[in-house]
Order: sequence, then C-alpha cells, then structure tokens
Amino acid sequence: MTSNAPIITVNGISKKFGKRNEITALNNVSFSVNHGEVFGLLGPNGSGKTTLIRILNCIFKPTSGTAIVNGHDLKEKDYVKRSTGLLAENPGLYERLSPREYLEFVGALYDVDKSILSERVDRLLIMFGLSSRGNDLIEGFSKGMKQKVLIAAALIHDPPIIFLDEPTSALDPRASIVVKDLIKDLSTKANKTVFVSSHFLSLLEDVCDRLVIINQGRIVSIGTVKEIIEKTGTIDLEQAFIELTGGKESKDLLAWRDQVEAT
Amino acid sequence: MRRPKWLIIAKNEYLLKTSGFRRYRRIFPFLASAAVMAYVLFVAPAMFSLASDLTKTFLLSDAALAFMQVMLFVIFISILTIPIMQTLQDTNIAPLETILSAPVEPKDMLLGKYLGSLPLYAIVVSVIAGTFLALFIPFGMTMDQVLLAVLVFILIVMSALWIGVLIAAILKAWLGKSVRGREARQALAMLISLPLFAVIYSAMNGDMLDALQGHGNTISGPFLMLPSSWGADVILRFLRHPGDVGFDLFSMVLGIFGLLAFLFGSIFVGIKLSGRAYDLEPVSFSSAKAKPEGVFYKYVRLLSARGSLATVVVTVTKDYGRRLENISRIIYILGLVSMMELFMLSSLPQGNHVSIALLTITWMMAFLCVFVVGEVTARGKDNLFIYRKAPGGESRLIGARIIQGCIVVQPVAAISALIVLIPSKFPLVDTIVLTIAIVAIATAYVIMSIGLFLLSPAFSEKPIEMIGNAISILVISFFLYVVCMVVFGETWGILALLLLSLGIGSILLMVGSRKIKSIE
Repeated sequence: MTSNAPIITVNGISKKFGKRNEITALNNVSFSVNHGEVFGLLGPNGSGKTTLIRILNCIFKPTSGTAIVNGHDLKEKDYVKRSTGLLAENPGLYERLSPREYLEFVGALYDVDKSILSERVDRLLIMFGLSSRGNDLIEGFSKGMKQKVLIAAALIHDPPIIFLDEPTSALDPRASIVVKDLIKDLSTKANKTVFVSSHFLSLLEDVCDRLVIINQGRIVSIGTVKEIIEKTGTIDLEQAFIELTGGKESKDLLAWRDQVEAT
Repeated sequence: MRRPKWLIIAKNEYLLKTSGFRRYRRIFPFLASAAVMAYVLFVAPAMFSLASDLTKTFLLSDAALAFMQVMLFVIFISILTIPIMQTLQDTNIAPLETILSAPVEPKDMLLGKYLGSLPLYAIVVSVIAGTFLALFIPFGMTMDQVLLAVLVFILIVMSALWIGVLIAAILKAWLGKSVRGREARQALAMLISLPLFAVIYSAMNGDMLDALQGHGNTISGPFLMLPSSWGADVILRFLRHPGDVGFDLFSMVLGIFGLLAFLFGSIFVGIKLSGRAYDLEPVSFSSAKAKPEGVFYKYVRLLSARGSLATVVVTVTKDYGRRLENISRIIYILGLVSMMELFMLSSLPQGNHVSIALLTITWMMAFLCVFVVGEVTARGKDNLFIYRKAPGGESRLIGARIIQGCIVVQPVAAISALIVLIPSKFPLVDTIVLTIAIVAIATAYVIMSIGLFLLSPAFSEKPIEMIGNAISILVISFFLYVVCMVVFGETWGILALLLLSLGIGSILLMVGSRKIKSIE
C-alpha cells in the first residue's frame, strides 16, 4: 500500500570521480520515494543509475548532497544498510557455495536471527523454485538461476526497501514474469518499497507507480508513466525516453554501402 | 546475540576454501589432524632418526643459525606470497558489492579473510613444525622448549599470513581503481613469485648461507631485522642448551615477545589500513588506446606474406601483446632462466652445465608455448566460431597462431640460450649453432602445442584441459630430450630432438586441425 510519506529523500546528490573530480556521474539529483511505492529508475548506459543505487546503499559516498533512507542519514551507514536489500547490476556470487550456504552467509551478515534464518532460507528457496538444488554448488547454475539466488539474498533480511538493479536482464520470459509478480507482491502484500532500475521499459511500465529518468547524471523527468508521456507529448514511454535523453537524430543507416553500390 | 562479522566472513572463507571436498567437510578436521599427528609422531622421527648423527653435527655447527634463518625466511616469504598471488589472480570482485552493501566494516572483511585461511595454514605449520621437532627432540629438548619452539613457528606463520592478506587486499583495491590496474593485477600475480624463487634458488645453491655466515656478507644485516630470524635465534638457543629453558632467558623472552609484538603490531597497523582495502570506487576511467601500427606490426605483416592472413596474424598478435599478463609470462620465463643461470647452473661443471642448461631451456620453452599458443581456443568457443563462420577461417586461425607463436617464442628462446651460453665462454660458432638449435626446437614445440590444444581445446583460462595439455607438453619435451641425448649423444641428440619434436608436432597439428574443424 503506497503512502505519501517519503521513505527515501534524495537532496542534491552529486558524485564526481577521478583524481581531480573530472568525471561527473551525478549532478545535483533530488527526488523522493514514497513508502510502499514501486519506483523506477530509467536512463541510458552511463547515465549514473548504478552510481545512485550504490550511494543509496552506502557503497559509495556522495561528493555533495545527502539522502535520508528509512529515516536515517547516509552517514548512519549501518542503519541504512539494514534498511535496504540490493540486487547489484553485475552481481557477484561465491560460486563455490551452495544457494543455502550463500543465503545463510548473507543472512548472517545482516544479523538475521539464527533461529529463523534456516526456515527463511528454505522458504525463499521454495519460492524461487530452487529447493531441489539447495545444496548444489552455484557454479553449475544457469544465469537465471543465479539471478534468483541473488534476489533471494536481497530479501533475506526482510528489509523495508529493496533495490533491484536490472533484475530481469539475465532471465527468460517466464522467470521475468515471476520477478515482475514478485515486485508487485512485495509492494502490495508485504508493503515494501521497491526501487527498480532497468532498461526493460515494459517492466517499468508494468510495475512502477512512478519513475525518474536521468540522463548524464541529471534528472530529466519524474512522475507516473502517464505523466511523463503527457509532459513530453509522445505516445508511449519508449518515445518519451528517446525524446528526453536524445537519440532522435535520424541517420542513414546504410550509408556505409555507398562504396559497394558504386562498384 | 549478534555474531561478530569477522567470524561470519571467516566461516564463509573456510567454506569457500574447502568447497572442493565439501562432502568430507565435517570429517576433514579430524582426518587432517590424524594425518598430521601420524606424520609428526611417527613418519618424521623415523625419517630423521637415520641421519641423526649427521644432523646433530650440523645443527651444533655455526652454519646452523644461518640454515635456520634461511629456512624460516623461506617459510615466511612463501606464506606471505601465496595469499597475494591467489588474491591477485582472482579477478572477480563482484561478490564484494554484496558484502559492502551489508553492515560490514573493512576490518571485519580483513580479519575474516585472515581467520578463514588460518585452518588450512595450520596444517602447513603443523607439518613444518613437526619436521623440525622430529629433528630437535633427539637432542634432548624438554617439553617446555618444544612447546615454545612450536609457538615460534605459529607466530611466524601467523605474521606472514596476516601481512600477505593485508598486502593482497590493499594491492587489489589499489589496482582495481583503473582499467589498466585491473589488468596489471594478473600480471603482477605471476611476477610476484620471482623474488620467492630467487630466495629459494639462492638458498639451494648455498650462496645465501655463505652470505649469512659472513662470507661476502651483504644480506645478513637485513636478515636480522626479520621476525623469522628472531625465531631462528630462539630455536637454536634451545638446541644448543637442551633441557635448560632458562639459559639466556632475557634473549629468549626478547625473541618471543618480539614475535608477539610483531604479530599484534602488524594486526593493529593492518586494521588501521583496512579502510584502504575493499573500496569499490574507481579513480580512473581512462581506457587504453590502440596506437597506429608501428615498425613491429609492419614486420609482422611482412612475415605473414601480407594479404588477409597477415591481417589475421597482426590481429592475434595485437590481442596477445596488449594483455599485460602475457607479457608478464615472457618476463617470468626470462627471469627464471636468468636466476637458474645465476644461482644454480653457473656452479656446475662445464659439461653438465650446457646439458642441463639445454634441458631446462627447452623445457621452459615448452612451458611458454603452453601459454602462448594455448590461447588458440582459450578465449572461448565464441572466439573460435568467429573464424569458423568465415570461409577457410579455421586454417587461417591455425596458420596465424603458428606465426604468432613463433614471433613470441623464438626471440625468448634465443635470449634464454644466450643467457646461459655466453657466461659459459663457449666458442662463438658453438654458441651460435646451439642458439639456432634451441630456437628451432622451440619452433617445433610451438607446432606441437598448437596441435595438442586443437586436439584437446581449452575454452577458458583454467580448465582441466589447459593443465592436462601443459603436463603433456612438459612430459613429452622431457622424455624426448632424455631419449635423444641417451641414444644419439649430445651433438646428434639435438638434431634428433629437433626432428622428433617436429615430427610429433606435425602429426598432432594435422589431427588437431581435423578435430577443430568438426567440433560442435
């Protein structure tokens, strides 16, 4: 159930990289995410999406600006980290562990009580259809199965906010539907706030209550899908995205064949 | 109650390290303890009881202190180097993001990694300590002296492992900040073992013992600064005064407290520095740029008869040469040959010198070929399928790899031969002839290696096929050398070795080419 109380408030966050801060990944980004909302983050490659997610999970420090996550400033790292679960864009697994061992490890890192950890791991394995493979080494899993283990790891400490960076990028259509349904259920049934970054516009259109579009580290639009389409005067999210982030230029894509034609 | 994070990470580290035999994980500590106990109590004493008079004379001599210092130094350096090599070779830093998004401090990571590695190193320290104690106990050392000697071993191993884990973590984070640094990591993993080999070769030859004893003393000063030397001093004191733990009590206490202070001091400093490790923030985004083709690539094109084959040869050569890890392997081989010449071969009689030098160089070249041409399929099936899709692509790939292999291996073979032959003061003509012979044999190994890798393709960096092929080439090259030298003698043996290796190489190449064209 979405409420109007913000659970994430981002205030003027900028992030610069390099020895002389020569690369600006994020430039004065401000927005808020409401409690129980499914919030989308959309932007072209290199627009700063992953950097923003890493900052909100206290993996990177912002160069300037701040954010309040679940009532805690980013400086209160441990509280913020306990409030969030993260599925990273290029997630790493300890492939020489079984899913059960991996989930128990991540659960222990988040101080999940030992008495409930084992049962929670079992339930998550059942939910993702991995219970029969719970003791197999992850190295033998397909990309989709690995992604399921990682999503389960993001949920293991039952955080109020879940960040999913490209959650369906490695999944087949059936598994993608499972993730899509899971995102909806997390928001509606478990009252979680889900922050999704994805290139799959259909996923964002289907699951997000609101979304923000960033380009070259700046916010270029924020609102519901309908609002963004209306604001840009386009007919769908894809066109709105192209309108907002550039790339409208129509090139002659077969110009390289001139030489062939001439001969 | 919350469990400490370092304990959770240590447990995870242990699970990772023992995942190879996870079914036996529960009984592993008992099995390992039983095996170590059997070795320490029965095997090692039985081994050394045969030579106890000899060892007794040696261990009471002046050379014993130097020997002990060298041995403990080698142990110290080896245990320090191994985690660095392992960490740098592991390019996958992605799991770090999952851990860093959890409420974990860098010091927990560092301590966890360290403690998780300790159980397996405990086996190593037990075997080492057991071996030494089997030597010492017949001297009449009392139980308190034995326990203190074991403590010395434990402190040395724990200090070395901690320093190794710390350096590895900081190096990995530091090099991970830039694209070039990440690439340099793997190259460094290989080269970092060269100083270790220098120490071991030097110790084997006795040069280090001489230096430590004061003959041409250049390194005894720095050696005394090392904790391994303090430990050696304590153990030697016990050996020379068995049953009298209180003899020169001050020096003994100073030695043990020195080791304790070193361990806890380095842990304290390491924890303070841990913030520098486990940091994912990149510093540099600049990527390496391809320069226009210079004289070298023009020469490569010339060698490849121009045309499309030349483009393929230049492409595979560029792909090979622009990976720092490949360059590091060449430096590694040349480094090993130089050290062998410097520390070992030069002290052998003239005749043996050349025979052993030829054997080692041809062996080294076989080893290099594995890395150079093993790449023929090592970048995966997708890479191979690019060639298969093009008309006659596989033949061009094989041809290009042979030329590229020769371009890399032949100069290394020539330089290696000259490193060994020039100091042996051979006549100029003999030196030239032997150098050409070694270059020709190395060329034959290039063909043989390509054949073997086509026959048994290794589609990633560390598959079983890669190791299998490497062992096969090394075994073939060794036996060919021995058979040729025994049957044909030194002069004709080299010619026979060349012809035989070329013959076997050609057959393997022919069969391998057929295999790679039909593989699905």
